[in-house]
Amino acid sequence: MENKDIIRLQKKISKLYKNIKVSSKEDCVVLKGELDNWSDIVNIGLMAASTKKFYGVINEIKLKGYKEAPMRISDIKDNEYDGIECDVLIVGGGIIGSAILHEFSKYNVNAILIEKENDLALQASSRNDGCIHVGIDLSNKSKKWYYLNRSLEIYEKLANDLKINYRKDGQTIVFTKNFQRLLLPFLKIKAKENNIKEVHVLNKKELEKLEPNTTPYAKFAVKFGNGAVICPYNMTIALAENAVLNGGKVFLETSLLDINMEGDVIKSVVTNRGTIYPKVLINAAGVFSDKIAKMANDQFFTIHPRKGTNAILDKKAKRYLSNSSIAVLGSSANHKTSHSKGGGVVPTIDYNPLVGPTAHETPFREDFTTDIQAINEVMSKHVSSMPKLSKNDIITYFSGIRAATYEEDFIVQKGKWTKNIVHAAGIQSPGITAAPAIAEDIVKFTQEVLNTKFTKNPKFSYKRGIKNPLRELDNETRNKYILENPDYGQIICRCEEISKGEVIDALNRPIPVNTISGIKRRVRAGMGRCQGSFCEPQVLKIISENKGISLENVKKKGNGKVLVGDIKDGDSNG
Amino acid sequence: MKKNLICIACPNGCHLEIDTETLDVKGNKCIKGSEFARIEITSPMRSVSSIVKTTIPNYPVICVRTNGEIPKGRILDLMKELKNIVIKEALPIGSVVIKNVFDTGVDVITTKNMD
Amino acid sequence: MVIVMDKYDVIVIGGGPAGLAASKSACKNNSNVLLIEREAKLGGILKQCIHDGFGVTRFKQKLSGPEYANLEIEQLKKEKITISLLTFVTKIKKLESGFILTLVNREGVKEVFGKNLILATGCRERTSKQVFIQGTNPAGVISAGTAQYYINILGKMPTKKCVILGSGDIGLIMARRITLEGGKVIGVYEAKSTPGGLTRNIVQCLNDFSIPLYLSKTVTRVFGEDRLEAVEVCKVDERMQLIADTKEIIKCDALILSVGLIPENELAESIEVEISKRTKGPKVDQTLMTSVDNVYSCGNALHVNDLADYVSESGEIAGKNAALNKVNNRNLVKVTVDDKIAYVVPSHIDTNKPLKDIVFYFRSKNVLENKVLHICVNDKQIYTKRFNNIRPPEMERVVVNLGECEKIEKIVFKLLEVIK
Repeated sequence: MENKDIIRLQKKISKLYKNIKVSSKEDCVVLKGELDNWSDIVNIGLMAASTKKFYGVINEIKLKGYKEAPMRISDIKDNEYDGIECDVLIVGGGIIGSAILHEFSKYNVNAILIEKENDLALQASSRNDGCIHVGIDLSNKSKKWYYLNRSLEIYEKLANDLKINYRKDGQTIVFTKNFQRLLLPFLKIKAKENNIKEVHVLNKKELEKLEPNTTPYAKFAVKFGNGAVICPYNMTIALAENAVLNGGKVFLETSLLDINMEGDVIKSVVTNRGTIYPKVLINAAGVFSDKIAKMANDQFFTIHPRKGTNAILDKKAKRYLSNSSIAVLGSSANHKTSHSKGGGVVPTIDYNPLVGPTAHETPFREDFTTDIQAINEVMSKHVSSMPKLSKNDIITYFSGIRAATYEEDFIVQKGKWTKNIVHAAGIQSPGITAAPAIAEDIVKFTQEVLNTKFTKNPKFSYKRGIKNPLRELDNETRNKYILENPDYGQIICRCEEISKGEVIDALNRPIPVNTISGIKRRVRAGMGRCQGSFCEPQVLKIISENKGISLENVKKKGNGKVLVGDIKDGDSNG
Repeated sequence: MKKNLICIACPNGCHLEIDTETLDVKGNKCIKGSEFARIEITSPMRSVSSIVKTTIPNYPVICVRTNGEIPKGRILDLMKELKNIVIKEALPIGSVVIKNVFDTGVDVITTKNMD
Repeated sequence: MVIVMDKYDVIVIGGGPAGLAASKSACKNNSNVLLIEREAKLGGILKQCIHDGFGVTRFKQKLSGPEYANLEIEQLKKEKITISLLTFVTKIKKLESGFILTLVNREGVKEVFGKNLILATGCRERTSKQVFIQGTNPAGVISAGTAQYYINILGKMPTKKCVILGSGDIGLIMARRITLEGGKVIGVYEAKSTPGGLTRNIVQCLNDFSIPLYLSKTVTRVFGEDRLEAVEVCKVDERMQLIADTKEIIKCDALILSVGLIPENELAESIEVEISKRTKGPKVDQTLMTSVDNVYSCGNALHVNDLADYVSESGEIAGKNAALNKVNNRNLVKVTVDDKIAYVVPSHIDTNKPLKDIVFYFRSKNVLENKVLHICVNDKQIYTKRFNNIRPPEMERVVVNLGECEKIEKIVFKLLEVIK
């Protein structure tokens, strides 16, 4: 006999959709059936979550005719890591997993991070706007807010310690209608509730002084001075590299394929590189975190992927765009539930303006393709705050997939049924901002699971062993480095002013990388206006020379090689 | 019969009209054009540029070209010949790599120094 | 504190054909010249343009790019010019008396002073993202120039079976190169309704090898996660709008892009040189001096050229004038064009500078037949020339004497119908 909440939900859903079965699994709701429209499936999940009567939503409604694409995993299949034991196994090398590994490296804990791709931060962690949010749009009862708020206290120092640039440009919301002033008192109350400091109401004149390119229709604005930008993928890499220097381990191209359970305890984890025996499994697997949970008999939530597309503009365009992260109220996310704050025009850490993101539900967990409608959408949305926004300034665009739960909140907790799993799952925006505090709690929960107290790693330090980009240095310091190593004086990426020496340094960091896009993310060669036309061959040559790989075997990304063979190898045709 | 073609002797690209019987040419700005049209419809000729492998450091390949025109139909044969060539010494620009290719009187020469 | 730095009358940035000609010309006109080049060798893009057709007017020979460059370099080496290779200009600071350049190379960071600057910085290629190709971001999507480097310099093939987008010269040349080196070109696709490159290249590169040319079609999307697997092409109308239901998927392992060149003027803009929206290069007068006194522009940085011979000519003009090192009161008159002409270079005439034998380059907006170019000064026609065929991909050159004109206030270029 189902409880009345289940019955009520079943009635509500049955009115709108055919053949959907609502049942319970302890205090969670389970949805089963088959529909031919993905947005209906998402809608039902959201309906179930919005009752707030269930611990979690397990949405197993199938999409008719949809065969899920196989998860991207490496070709490697061996026993390199077979039999390895560890205290903690972190699944997922995004910013969350890397922050967790980093936090563990402060203690005497044997922690391993496995990442299925051939580099860190290849999914959501490199496919976002790099904003450190202040959380004005969040409910202060949510985990999103809780972890964001705690992280903001330590983020700037953490970034500085890790030699990651952190720039507080602020976040500005522009209002174009006078009647919207009525919202101000509510906004101020919300800001106070959410512990947001540096809240400034700007009149038209003040706004024009700070943001001279803003729309002439602006009436007033609210600026949150603590809004900042960082490079999210370099932050991820920095966390992981520093963790490795402090004893942590990172295994790239290692996918979790199966979990061996013994009752309610995870005994071992089967990967494409052997079976690993952790005491505790940390689930930081992004869009696949619900599948990991299911394999560990601990699924009490479901991910519904939500795609976002961003456009990146030429640095020159910044002159006639914004100085802070800016958007007109209401120009944000276009979908009904409005769970994405909707971004705006963001001056990224490297000064390229970023415009976006969109928010569209999709059944495809790893569909990073872009389409022209999304580009047009972000540009037309945000021209409302920045009239000089122009498609002509776009130098590239990309998409990411958010790991959204139906509750639209983070899952940071010990396993519900399984004893030795800890989840850092369903992390969507503000995941980049919330990462450090999430990591702290994951370590705390892990101690509870193991019923122990970790001792501090006496050797822990924030060393990075890397140089700041040489183009940022003064002439004298730069000259000194070049005298020590002439490779620092040979510029191979002229759009971003990167030297051969810096590329070689990036190839020899604590976590190995040997792809052109891995280098691109670390030093920016290929991110400029020519998008690698000039520097890709140079980087390819350097990788080949430095790693002892033949030119034909150098990859751009994943398994994608740049060259196919020698000249005159094929059949000449005519 | 009149045939239209475009002269490729120089970048002007004059639009030519040639009578296939009388071999009279119209539309050319210079004498090269009329010569070109006549040859093009009887036995078309082309200059060919390509690359050959070398063992010289910093020069995985060196560029070469025919120092005149060869029959268009033999271009792919020439490519087959070039496939087998490996330059083993640092030759100066203009060095002959294949002398009198296919008995045309045309040589294949290098077009870059290898220093 | 006085900082000792090397001083030059003329500093040329860029050692391709424009910079080579500019350096020689400035030196011959008694200037102390520094030529800066960011690659290990001089010659610029010519080093990888191994096809012939270069030097027909300049050297009366049909040379390959490297041979053309070699001749220019040999001539250059006879002059007393300071050459700095593998050197990158990171910053230019404008002073009253000249310019301080910050240079970075394997020897270190140093500053040099130049009274006159010649920007011969060439151009870059338009990218797939700039033509809004959607989908994934795999290996195998490269610009034609990059493909040319891989093949002609590294001797490696970037493709076994490709689609080429863009019928500009580089795309056509690469169609032939890829075919000759053993690859297959499925076709050359061109969004416009007329081909983009020199006609001779359509014949020699496509027709000779039976490579199909598809007009009014463009690539809209690419597939393949790590390496390209296919592209989607679509028909477009005269306004470049996609025509519904004309999508076609073509399997291939590379998309070679030849969708236009963009003059490189980052350094120019950093010292506030005004850039023309039409040419994407600096606005210049007949001496090729830009809106900033004593800063000159030449070659592809000024506007995209088709012929190296003209590039060298523009370098010579810039070099000769930079060597004069004259500062005068400029009286600039804009050269206006009618709606049939895309642009004309120079964009302005300085009436206080010599007006004899001015070299003008211009392009038509569309393919035109039987037109007459009229040049009118102060509404009086002072020059005409007939053009039987005139196409955008083939830039035209005229030499006009404005020396007889008095008090020039208006200059107009028009392409009119031939009156029969």
